[in-house]
Amino acid sequence: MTTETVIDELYNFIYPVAVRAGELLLEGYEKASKNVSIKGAFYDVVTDYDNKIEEHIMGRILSRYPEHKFIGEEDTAKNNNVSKELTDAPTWIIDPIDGTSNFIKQIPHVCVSIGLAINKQIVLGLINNPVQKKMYTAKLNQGAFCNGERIHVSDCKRMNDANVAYEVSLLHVEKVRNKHIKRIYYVGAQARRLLSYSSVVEDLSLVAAGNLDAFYIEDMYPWDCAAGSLLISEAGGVITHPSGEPFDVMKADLICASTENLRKELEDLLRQADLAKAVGGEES
Amino acid sequence: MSKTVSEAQLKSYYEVAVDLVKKCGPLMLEGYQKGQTDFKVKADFYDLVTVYDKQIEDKLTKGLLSAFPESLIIGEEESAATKRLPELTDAPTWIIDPIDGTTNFIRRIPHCCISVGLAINKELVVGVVYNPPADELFTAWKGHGAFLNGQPINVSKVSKINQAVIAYEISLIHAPSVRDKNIKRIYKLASNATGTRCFGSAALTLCYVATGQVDVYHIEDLKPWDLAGGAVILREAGGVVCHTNGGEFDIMKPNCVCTSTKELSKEVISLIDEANQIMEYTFK
Repeated sequence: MTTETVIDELYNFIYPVAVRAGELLLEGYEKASKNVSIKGAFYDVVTDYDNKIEEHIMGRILSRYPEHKFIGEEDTAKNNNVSKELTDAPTWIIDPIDGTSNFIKQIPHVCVSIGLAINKQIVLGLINNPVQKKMYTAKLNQGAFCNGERIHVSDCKRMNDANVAYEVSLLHVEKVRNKHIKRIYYVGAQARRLLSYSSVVEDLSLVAAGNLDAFYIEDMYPWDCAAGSLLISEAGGVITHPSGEPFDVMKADLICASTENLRKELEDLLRQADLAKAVGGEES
Repeated sequence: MSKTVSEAQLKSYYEVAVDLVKKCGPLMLEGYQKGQTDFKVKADFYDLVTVYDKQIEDKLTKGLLSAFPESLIIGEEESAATKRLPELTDAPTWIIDPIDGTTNFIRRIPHCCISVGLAINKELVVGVVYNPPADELFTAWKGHGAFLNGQPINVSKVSKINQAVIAYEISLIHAPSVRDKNIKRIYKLASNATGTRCFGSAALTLCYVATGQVDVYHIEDLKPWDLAGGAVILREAGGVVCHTNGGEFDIMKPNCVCTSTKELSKEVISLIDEANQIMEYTFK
């Protein structure tokens, strides 16, 4: 069992690292030129800042805690501490820039996300959106905060009352296009609002803070969801795998919501969508 | 009776409008910071209104009519109260949305705004869109360019859909009468674009095309006040606003395609045509 003292110590250590990471992110964001195509040369600036921020965070952690691990893609690993497997060792799960296309277009939904797992349990989550000046933080069993103020999920229980985030950009990916058009159809028909920001980390933060009521995503990486998942549970929300099974950061598919009622309604809608052979062409 | 208006008179309309809209900022911010303000559900479960809508519209109406007694008002709350949409005449007519993105306003998501447009001789000539939570004031008057907080803004140079970020109000599918139309069109557009955003405020999304943050916005079935202000800002930023069929934009039936370039408009219109032809809903 990780003690509160250990968590506090690690939190106090990582907090200024997260602040500095946000400063770097903002620096890169403000440089963005909107006249360059997404697939053009500007993508190098993205990689540049992605690397800078990752090196800053990993560098600071390793100089203080050389035995700590990281979850990442092994083939881009810069050292032996990076792995695809989660062990009991203290393991940082980091996304240096979430919302890369927002970064390029200067749409203010970009975040640095830092999560820490010990004994395979997420104990710390920090999310910094420096453009909106929002620093979300959570320590296991100590609540969730935004800029030091306590945050809580909403009390929304029904889809008709709900603001739901859905990553509509996924329609661009041919392999999953039909799956998502059906799901968008079923969820969008019931939700008060369906919103799409192209930043999973931001979506999770907004549910935790009560700005949104529910969010579903799959085919993501652990670093997209680690910090955000803790934020949501510490903010009083519910989060599971889309099947209803417990959330597993290493299989980062999820449904999260302010209440179990709403979460279940969303899960049911997604299931109905998957069973549909087609959508549209009829009265609802 | 068509009366041409002088540059001096137009400038006066513009300056008074900007000043009045700015003066409504604190009132809007007061409502925004309260969060979860009391709201009423309008006719449909997805349409909300707060006391701030009425207060802001009253303040603007009073100020504009006192400065310009010859002008007329087409306002969202007034039209809802009288249950009729006035006809647009040649007279100088202020087209007002006191809060666009009411759901965002209520949930403290900073994509909500006050929108004022001015039409003279049925032509849109002044636009002011103010998002106090994000400190964004967009302004434009005919022939003088578009500005964000006093700095000039311009559309992107994106001319191909496969390099474009599109914006779409996917929430519209909660209305059964337009569900099929919108699901087919978002399917076509989002598949071909590099990304999709759904912000929940038409007025602001037009401004985001004006800044180049997004490159395309297609929307139908809205009201004049949703688009009047933003359309001027977008055009003055070098963008294109036309009817969905490629013809002239009609503010009183504002179904439109809004993009950064003419070439991109053509491609979007052609994709919308393809979408309209989809009869078999398995979206293969």
